[in-house]
Amino acid sequence: MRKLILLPLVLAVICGVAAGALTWVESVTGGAIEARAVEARQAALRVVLPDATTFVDRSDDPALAEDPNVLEVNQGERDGQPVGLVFLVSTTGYGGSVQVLVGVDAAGSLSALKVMSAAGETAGLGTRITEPWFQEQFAGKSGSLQFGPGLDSLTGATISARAVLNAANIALKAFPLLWGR
Amino acid sequence: MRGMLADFRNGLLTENPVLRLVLGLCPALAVSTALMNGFWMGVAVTFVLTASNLLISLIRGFIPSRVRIPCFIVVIATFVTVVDLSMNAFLPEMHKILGIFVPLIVVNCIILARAEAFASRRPALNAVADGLGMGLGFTVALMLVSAVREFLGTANLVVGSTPLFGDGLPFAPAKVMTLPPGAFITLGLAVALLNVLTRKPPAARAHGAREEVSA
Repeated sequence: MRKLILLPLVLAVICGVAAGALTWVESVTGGAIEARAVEARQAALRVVLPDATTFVDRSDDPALAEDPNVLEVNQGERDGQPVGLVFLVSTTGYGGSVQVLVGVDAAGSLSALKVMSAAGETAGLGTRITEPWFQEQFAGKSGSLQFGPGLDSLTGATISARAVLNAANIALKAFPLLWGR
Repeated sequence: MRGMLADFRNGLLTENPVLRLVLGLCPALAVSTALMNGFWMGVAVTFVLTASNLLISLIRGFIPSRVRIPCFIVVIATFVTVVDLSMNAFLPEMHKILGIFVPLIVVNCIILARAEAFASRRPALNAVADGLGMGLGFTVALMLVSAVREFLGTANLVVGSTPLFGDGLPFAPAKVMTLPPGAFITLGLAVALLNVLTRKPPAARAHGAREEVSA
């Protein structure tokens, strides 16, 4: 009976002390880790919208409520003036969701896009959507995009390529809903 | 208090965790692709080993033997989390390279083995000496393996963040050395080399063999 109380008690005391110590370490290191995570995120956003220096999160904007494909929106700003929007769009690929970061500049044309996650796509075929030449050909396009002259799809990876195209179109369509508001 | 020097030296050669006990191979094989990786992994393990040895030795009278393993693991996990958070905050580049192998120090058998076999039965200072010795032995072994792999695999050696040989030495790097097979080859040769270097004379060996049988 004594053991029944003693054993858990000892363990609880040790765990309690450990938790206290870790709380303190977390409070010391948390700031630096957080700052770096924010910086890494901003750097990733800057890849698709190079004109911007800072980004403001607008993911909670009510205009986006009906579009489940848009996961996040960040407004890029330079000297306090908005220069474009960056959308994180999720679309359906061949084997699960494909996540694409799409930058749209002030004129409403696509500045750049970057495939962030294509884990479910077929290796060697669908995963070619992450190749630079495929992603770069979207730059400067606007309106409703279709594959054709000037915008190549991928042989043997029609569905994966279309997932990226859909993501670009979703972002271009969502842009006017949010821009300037 | 006595025998601290012997406890310290024990981990360096006689019971070197990697080259003699062949423990903790998971990080030893995985991160030993470059000298600095080996060094920082060794520092992380040495810190966890020494700190957990000290604390476990200090509270050894307080821990009932029935729950000693969970207690040890909580102590070890705490120090590993401290290392993980500190590296993430102050050595972000290295944290990214070592990745999952920093949190995995929790299940590194060297640390639990030293806690169970040594720290939980000895005075605090001896436990610290043992932790430092074992940790240093681990670090040196890892640096040795990773230096060989990096040198042969990239024809260069990076110390701090400066390459020692500029654009690399004029020989074709053997890519295989930085890949997993290179780790096994290098580690195997290092273990063999240490065995040859420390081989006892035949008479002593026969004696040692009898001892092993009777044990």
